[in-house]
Amino acid sequence: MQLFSLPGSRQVSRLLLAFVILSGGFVFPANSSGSDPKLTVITPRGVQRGAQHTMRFTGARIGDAQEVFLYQPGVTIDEIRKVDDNQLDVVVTVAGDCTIGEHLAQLRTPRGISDYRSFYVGLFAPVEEVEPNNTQDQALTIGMNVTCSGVVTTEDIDAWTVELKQGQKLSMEIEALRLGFLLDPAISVIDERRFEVASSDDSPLFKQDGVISFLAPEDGKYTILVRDSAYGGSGNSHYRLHVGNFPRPTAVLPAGGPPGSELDVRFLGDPSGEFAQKISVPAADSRTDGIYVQKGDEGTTPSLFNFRKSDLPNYIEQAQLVDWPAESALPLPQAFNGVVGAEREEDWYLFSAKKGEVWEFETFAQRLGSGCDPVIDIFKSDRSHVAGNDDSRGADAWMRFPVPEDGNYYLRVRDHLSRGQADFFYRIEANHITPALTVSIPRIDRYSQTLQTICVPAGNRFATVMNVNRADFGGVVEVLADSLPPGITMDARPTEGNFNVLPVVFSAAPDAVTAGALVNLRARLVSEEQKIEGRFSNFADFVNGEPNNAVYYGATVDQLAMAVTKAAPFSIEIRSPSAPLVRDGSCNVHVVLKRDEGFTAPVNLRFPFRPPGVSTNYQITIPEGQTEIDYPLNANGNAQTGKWPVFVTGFSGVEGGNLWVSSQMGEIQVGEPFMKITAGRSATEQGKVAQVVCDIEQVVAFEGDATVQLLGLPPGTTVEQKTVKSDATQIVFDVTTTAETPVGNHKSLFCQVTNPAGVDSSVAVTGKTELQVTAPVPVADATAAPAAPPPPTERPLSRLEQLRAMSKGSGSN
Amino acid sequence: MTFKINSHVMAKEPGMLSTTIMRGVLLSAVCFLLAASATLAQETGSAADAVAAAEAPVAEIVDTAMPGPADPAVARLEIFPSGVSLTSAGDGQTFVVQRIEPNGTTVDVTAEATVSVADAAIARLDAGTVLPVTSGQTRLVVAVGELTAEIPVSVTAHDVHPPISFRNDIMPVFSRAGCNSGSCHGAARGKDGFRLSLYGFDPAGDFHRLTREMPGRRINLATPEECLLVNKATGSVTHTGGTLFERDSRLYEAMVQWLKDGAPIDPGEVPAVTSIDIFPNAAVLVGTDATQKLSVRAHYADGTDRDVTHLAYFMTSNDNSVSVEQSGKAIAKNRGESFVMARFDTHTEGIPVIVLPADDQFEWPADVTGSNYIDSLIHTKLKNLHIAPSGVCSDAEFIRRVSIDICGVVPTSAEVTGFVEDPASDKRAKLVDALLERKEFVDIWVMKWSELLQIRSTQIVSYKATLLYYNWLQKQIQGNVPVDQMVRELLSSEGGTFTNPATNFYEAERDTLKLSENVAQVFLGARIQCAQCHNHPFDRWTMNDYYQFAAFFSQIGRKPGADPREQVVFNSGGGEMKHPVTGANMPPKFLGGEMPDVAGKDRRAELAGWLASRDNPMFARNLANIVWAHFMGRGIVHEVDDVRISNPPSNGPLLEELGTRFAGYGFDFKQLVRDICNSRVYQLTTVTNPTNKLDESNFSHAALRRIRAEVMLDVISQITETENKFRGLPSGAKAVEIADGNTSSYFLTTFGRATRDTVCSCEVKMEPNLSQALHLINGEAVHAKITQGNVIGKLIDQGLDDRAIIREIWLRSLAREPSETEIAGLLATFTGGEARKAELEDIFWAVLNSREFVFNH
Repeated sequence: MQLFSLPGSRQVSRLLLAFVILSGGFVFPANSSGSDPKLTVITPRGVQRGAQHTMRFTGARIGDAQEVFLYQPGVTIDEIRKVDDNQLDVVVTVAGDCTIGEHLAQLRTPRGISDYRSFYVGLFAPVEEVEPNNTQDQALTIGMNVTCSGVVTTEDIDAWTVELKQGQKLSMEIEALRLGFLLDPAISVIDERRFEVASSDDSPLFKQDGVISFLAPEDGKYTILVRDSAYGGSGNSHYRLHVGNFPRPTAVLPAGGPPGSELDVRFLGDPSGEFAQKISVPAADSRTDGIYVQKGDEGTTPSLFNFRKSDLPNYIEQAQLVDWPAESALPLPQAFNGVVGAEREEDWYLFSAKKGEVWEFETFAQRLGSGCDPVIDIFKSDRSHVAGNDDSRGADAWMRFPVPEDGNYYLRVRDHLSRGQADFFYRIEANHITPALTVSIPRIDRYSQTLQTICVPAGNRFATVMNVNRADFGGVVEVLADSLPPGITMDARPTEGNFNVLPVVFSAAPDAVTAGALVNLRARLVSEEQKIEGRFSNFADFVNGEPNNAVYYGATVDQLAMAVTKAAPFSIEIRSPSAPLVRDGSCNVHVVLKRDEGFTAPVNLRFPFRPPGVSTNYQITIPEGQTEIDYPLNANGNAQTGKWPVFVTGFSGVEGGNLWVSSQMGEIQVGEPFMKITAGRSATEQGKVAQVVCDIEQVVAFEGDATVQLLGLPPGTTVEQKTVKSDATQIVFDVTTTAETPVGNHKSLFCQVTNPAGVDSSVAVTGKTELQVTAPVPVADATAAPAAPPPPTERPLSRLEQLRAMSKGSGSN
Repeated sequence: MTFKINSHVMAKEPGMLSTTIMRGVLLSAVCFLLAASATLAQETGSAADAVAAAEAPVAEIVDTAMPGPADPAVARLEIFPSGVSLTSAGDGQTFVVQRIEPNGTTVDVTAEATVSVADAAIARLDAGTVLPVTSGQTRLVVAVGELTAEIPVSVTAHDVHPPISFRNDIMPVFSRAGCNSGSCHGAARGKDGFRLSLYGFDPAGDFHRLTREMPGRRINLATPEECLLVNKATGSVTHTGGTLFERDSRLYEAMVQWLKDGAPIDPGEVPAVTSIDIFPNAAVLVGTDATQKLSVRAHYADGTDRDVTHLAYFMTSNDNSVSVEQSGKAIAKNRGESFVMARFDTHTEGIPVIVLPADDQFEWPADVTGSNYIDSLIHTKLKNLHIAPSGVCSDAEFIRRVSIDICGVVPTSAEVTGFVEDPASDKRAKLVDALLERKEFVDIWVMKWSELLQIRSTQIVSYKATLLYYNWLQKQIQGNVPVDQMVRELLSSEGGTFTNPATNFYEAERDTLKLSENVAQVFLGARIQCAQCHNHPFDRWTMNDYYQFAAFFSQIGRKPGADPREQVVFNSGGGEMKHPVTGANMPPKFLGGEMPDVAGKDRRAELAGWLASRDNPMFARNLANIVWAHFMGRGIVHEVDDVRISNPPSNGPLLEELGTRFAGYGFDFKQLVRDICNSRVYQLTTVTNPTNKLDESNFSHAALRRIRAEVMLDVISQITETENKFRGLPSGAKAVEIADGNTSSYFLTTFGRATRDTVCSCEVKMEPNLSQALHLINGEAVHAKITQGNVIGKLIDQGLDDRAIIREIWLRSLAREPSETEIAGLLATFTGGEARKAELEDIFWAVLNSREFVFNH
């Protein structure tokens, strides 16, 4: 508190000193080459194609980056220059035919691979903002067909001015939220008298990013204002505003076509009217789904129009036909394309189908950039309703339609709120059910890309679990890699039947050089009859926000970044337990840590792949300087028996970041317990001995002596452990109580069986029971006849039998 | 007091030492001077009275005759009810005879009247009750002195003895005796092991508990007179509630008769009570202890009526003026007005009772004439109350008052002098017109509507949605969209909360029941919350009304929108509102209106159509009342969102007329504001006279109103030429322009800004309190703004002398010229020289801390 009341320069210097001390300690690593590199942002956020550019990569521990991974073609890396530990300049050449739009880049350093981040490739020449440009008077005058870039800081407004002739088209698209930082832009155009001519906050085409296209009502200067829609903003709130007289349609008909084909389409919604164009549908293996929009002298739209690559035959809405002639029913599969053009409009289609068929109806509207919220319904030809859906795919409809009988059926499409607009286009694909398969790495961190890449230290191992995401099929799935970086081998076990998680361990040769690649990872159904294949898929959140860290924007990649990294100062091995992990039991996996000389830091261990029914600690730590630990495993009563591959991963702080390694792939056996014990309930008075009778059912024969302990007893009691042989059928525990043993029904008693075999012991829990302890009965009247002694027995009595005996005895009195 | 404040300031801000000592002295000096200037006469005690006597055009007091025995030639006699209809052998009807004096006062002459039935073969009289003899028609003739009056009497079915009805005869006994009140067996868990439904909302349940629960304990059909139910009620056995009625009472008779009949449940439907009347329909009592007998008659769905005076529960809204006995006798106490009510079944009705002092000498001042309908209706009421209105305020007072009220700004010094010097006779009307065209007028009403619509960010409503909602509202009001149209659009809105921001109305409150309560409170002014659990004890709303109204909102669908912060609100077309007692689906019914056909329609749109239509007078009246309250500081119904039978308007005809006019103007706010601001009533001074000194509710003088939080901050910023900065708004935005109810500042919170957490009008705190005064004195708001704006520096740079600067401070802050006493007093404290600027700033500071500044007067 006093610090802040100090006047003058002394106060400032103290604050600075404090900051330097604090930040030097933990924010920036002392060593220049760190593991666990982070990439935060690439600036400028976009470049023009057909030119060379220098881009600044900013992050943490990336100064020694050796390679930039690019997920899309068209950009080549010319040079990587270190600026400092946390910044790089990368010189790139962007080909003249490079696909426009978002490109993803990722850095590889000798210690690891960074997150992937985006930059944009555009058509137009860039213009940078110059502050202050907050008002109409301060606006920077720009020409047509340029890309303005700027940053909206908190409550900032950026102004740009263009000069237009009456009737001239002004089109604008903004890339802001799509640049990967929270800026929800609002753009508006005002004329010289400050009247708003056009505005856009959100748009169906680009969600939070707006689109404007209009014809100038009169000659004059028009000012474009850019701000955050809720007056937010920050130093990272970049935007790219494309301004020009380019065509900006808002609908396409049809909205899909065969990949690699040439197709005639109509574009709707442009202020100068609709137009037709022959477009090239991207090839099936292309990484883009969008098509270029071009129109004569107006040029090319600076973004791709979303488009469905689909081999289905296209049917385009002809007129508003409600009553179709029965003979004109369309066969399935079919893609229905149309526009809900007016309020309360309903589009009807007639198709034929046969009993027993199951068709999948998937609607594409909002996902392609349409404002329509489609609702689909299927009616029999007598107009009785048989199926319908509104929102199974976001706002788009999806459903499966099991055909109840042979005949013709009506498909009806409408907007959920009965709205209609000239650009409310939709496409409904009615298709056979197609099995689908992808493979991915589960997130360990909810909102980050942590451990979503494979970095194997030379001479060491790295492991992960992979998720198989399957739809409409079952069976064993295996994971394959087309070509791994030199020196890396992959040990991926196929899934156990329909199990959807599998462990994968990567090893790098001791002499492998640090290098990496984007790898095509494939998943495949192991089957002779059915050929089902899928690719790797990984989604990264770029923008999260209210409410509850919802994902606003992210990117998906279909290749897995993999690299051999510098040797690690530690490695780990596991020893698979010789005894099985039994149901309702536990065992330990022994972990041995090999430390390089001088490496004494603690190492954290995790056990990512757990067979069904097996649980363990999320993380345990081998303390500083130590080299061994047991990783405890527990199995529940329903654990799936069998042999299971397992591994342990470990990480430790190395050079300012976390460095991860893995053990080899080991194995554990999950099995049935050796014996099942049924323990009888027992009762006694304080200070007396209670007998707990345990009946043993042998399940798996064993040699030697197994130890059985009665645990969970109340305080103030003693009992001895017992040993049993494989043929034992009963044991009796004598539980001695004292005056201190609490009175009550103690329900926590159980037997623990320790298996007799091998060096690794596993224990099983069985025989849960209760012990009733009562206070001593007051001394009986001396004149009363003594209770009859219990009849002699050959075996210990159960509690029930004791009570029966007691009741008999008292009855005789 | 002053020195205490000084020492506090000194301790807190040592850097301001010299200034604050100076300021302490100044504050007391300025306050004293300002008080002496009499602008705040009402607030300042005896000095004020002196000024009032000297300046205000108080009605000339004429020695008029006391309202004593009136001239029989002019006085008239009235019998209530206006006719008697007896429909069974057990029927009877009490009546009230009232003499209305020429001066408007009334005398209850029921007891002293000579009453007779014209044809004794048809009906007879017994202890003030008309009883049937045989079927036929006759007349009831009343004579008091030389005055006579008569009413028709009709007798039918004189030989029919209808059985005792549980619903219509026994349930009212529980209500009248108080058995089913919340403090007795009506409590949620009952009382002493016996539960009745609160105010009788569940007759079937009550019947069950009386006759089937603990069989044989509560009632005994073998010995009806000695069963527990009767013994407890008559106090024959120990009863926590004591003796509720005697064994010779009609309540006892009814209950025992029912038990003797076998304690039956009513076979089939029982005619429901459709309305009740309370007689007489008004009374003006003269002198303490004057009484007025009351009579209550219930009308049933089968067309019959019945005297239920003995079953009705009587209440008074102001027992300081009128008390009421449960026998149905109102007793005059102190001068004033009360609303005397009777409750029977689910119905409450009331009559206004005015009490005038016995020595009242009143004559309406001759020079008081009205300028429009508002004045005439207010004057009519004031004449009845024998209250003379205050005089008209000065031009300087008017320009400040009307500028703050219409636009939330104070006039500039040039505007003040220009207006005061303007000789035009219609300058006030012109000023009103000019203010109405300013953007600030829109801002004020956008703010007020934002409070009613609860525009605030929550977990569900994002800040962006809040802004869009606010902008939508602003566009409506800026575009002069008629309120009815706006409300219709709001209530039937569909779509995304970003694409159609009006849908945020359904996001601000998602609970269906609370939502319907809010709609009733905001648009109809009715608080129906009570009726969620039981029939409203002080209003006409039953549980059926409540759930049938809520049924309009039972089909709201919501789904996620394109943006994670967005929701799409739509009509789902399905979903019913169930009655919690009967479990029945409640068909939608307008509150106090029809049951519309909603099949296949958006229920909300149906409701919106009715709510904001001319068929629903409550809507226009309620909005007119809100507007009135803004300008007058108090609603005709007070609070504005507490319209109920037991809280009647202080001037019903005026409220009705305002509502009718407002609807007639096409719900155009501006025209209504024009009417109000151009009325003499709005332009009255705050200075009172002996007759209206105690009047708070009849608008006989202007109310002294603390300036509300947002306007206060804006006005301080305006005067000090500074800007505010609020979260999420561009710099320079005014406090009235804050879109989000959650955005606030210490200043605004201290001065009671609404957080828009509820729709309640009570959210805006208008009461002055100590922390506000301390914040103005010690806080940063005033001091920092004076320094920041450097107004004094600028005035000094213009070469103005001390006197001119003081005048400027006075004009821009208080909208008036400083008096010579004030100037002289202040100049005497000046040291001048280097301290000149600081001293002038201290004066500026002291003025902004004065009561005259803080209040709109």
